[in-house]
Amino acid sequence: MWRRWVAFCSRTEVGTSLAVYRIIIGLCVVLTVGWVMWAGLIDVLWVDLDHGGMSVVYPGWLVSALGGPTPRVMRALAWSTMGSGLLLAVGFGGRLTAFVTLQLVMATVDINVHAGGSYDELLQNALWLCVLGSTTATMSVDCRIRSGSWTSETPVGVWARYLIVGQLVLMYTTTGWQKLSAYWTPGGDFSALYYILQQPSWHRFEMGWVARVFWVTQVGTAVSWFWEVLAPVWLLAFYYSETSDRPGRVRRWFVQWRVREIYALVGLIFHVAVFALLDVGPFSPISLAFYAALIHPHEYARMFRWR
Amino acid sequence: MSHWPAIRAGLIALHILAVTLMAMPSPEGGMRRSAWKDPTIQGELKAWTQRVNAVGVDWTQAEVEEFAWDAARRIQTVRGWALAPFMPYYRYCGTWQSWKMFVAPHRYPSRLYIELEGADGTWRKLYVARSNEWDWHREQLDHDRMRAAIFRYGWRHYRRPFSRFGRWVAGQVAAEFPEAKRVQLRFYKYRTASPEEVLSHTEPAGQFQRAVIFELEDFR
Repeated sequence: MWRRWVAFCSRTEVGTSLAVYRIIIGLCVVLTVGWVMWAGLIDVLWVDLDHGGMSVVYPGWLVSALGGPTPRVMRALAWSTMGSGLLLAVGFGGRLTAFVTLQLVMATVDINVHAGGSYDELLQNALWLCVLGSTTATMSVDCRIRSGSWTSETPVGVWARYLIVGQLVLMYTTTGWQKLSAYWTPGGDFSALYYILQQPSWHRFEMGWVARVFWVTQVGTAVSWFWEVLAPVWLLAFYYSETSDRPGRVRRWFVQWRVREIYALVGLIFHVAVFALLDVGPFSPISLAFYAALIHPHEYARMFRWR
Repeated sequence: MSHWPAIRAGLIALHILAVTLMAMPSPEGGMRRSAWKDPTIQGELKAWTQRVNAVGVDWTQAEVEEFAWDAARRIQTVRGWALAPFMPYYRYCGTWQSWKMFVAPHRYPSRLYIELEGADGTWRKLYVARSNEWDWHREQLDHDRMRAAIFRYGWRHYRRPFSRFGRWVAGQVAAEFPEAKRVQLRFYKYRTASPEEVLSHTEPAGQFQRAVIFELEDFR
């Protein structure tokens, strides 16, 4: 068992999928912090009450080391975070840039515990996975400096991509397992999405009109609950598609029926709908960045050739 | 270097263990008796009481609540013990996992109102959450991070942060409306309408709660 695990973790592939993931995550960092800056909220949300902010904030080690949550420090940190996110997107500095970006993101978005959401945690996990994996092996400035070319066939560990997909599946699964409300679970009337859309905290505009298509929200509730609760099937489908050259009837069935792709399509529809109807910050773009790792390097090669 | 593949495999396994344990469902953040008295949560408990009764378990709603509370406390204890060794990994590597996203619809949400008392003593609305008519500082107050904060302030146990937020609002209002006397922040708490109620144009009644009033002279 252990030997098989070590062998599994030693497998390599071309780093295209990791590179695409890194680029999108870098841009998500810029989006996450830039959106706060655009709304003029840095001095309001990330600066302490004593310096003009609206609440007591909880600075981490980096903000404390820089002199505390004053407007000057927090603005400088916000600009640095966006700059670091851009460096990550262009692939300069390898793991060090990813680590610095992670620390900067933690220093900014975590400072106000009331003014954030799960997307902050998702982004931080995404950045840590950029630290663990070799995301700048190709399609990066690092690659250009190292090899003289923007792309490279340098092998990277497949395990990093499994961790990314695993993180996505873990998020969906455990959020589904926590949806124990009578409005979500079988046995009720599957009205959770309808009522969530009525909450003024999150909807983009008044959503009373969905009462006319209540049945659509019921179908959406049932589909998204089962989709989340059974998300580990997606990880299995990903594994089968990645090892499709191996034998096995179940594997063949999963590949033939495109279970990985169907799961991804449902997720894509779900995130587009969430983005259109609810204001939950950059949750959808960050989540969809993880989808980049679901596509195998040979599939990217085919896509790029087609273009 | 010959040991590296095995070490790496071990570290990957540890990462998976750490994040999986942290992500497991937990009542973290929801262990307040006062919050459990909210009609949204009482509604859930009522629905689950009906469900357990339907399968032959003769529990009252109070018994279901007590069972859920005890189970949640036990889960918290075991979880704390299991996660303790990994805490530095979560704290310094950003690997926290808390995926309680829309676990239940909030049937009794709160809508923020900000109102201003002019020099003549009449009150007028400045901001009503999600309104296109009263949209003072909307680009800030409707931002997703502000929504997250205001959503929390709607709960009773966030009284102090809500008051601090009110002071910040008062400071802005005092600067922008030099003639105004007072500003009031309050939440309109109501039950969200069912599809049938929406279609029959029946609006469930609600009530204003948690009003805080600030004398703007104190902020000039």
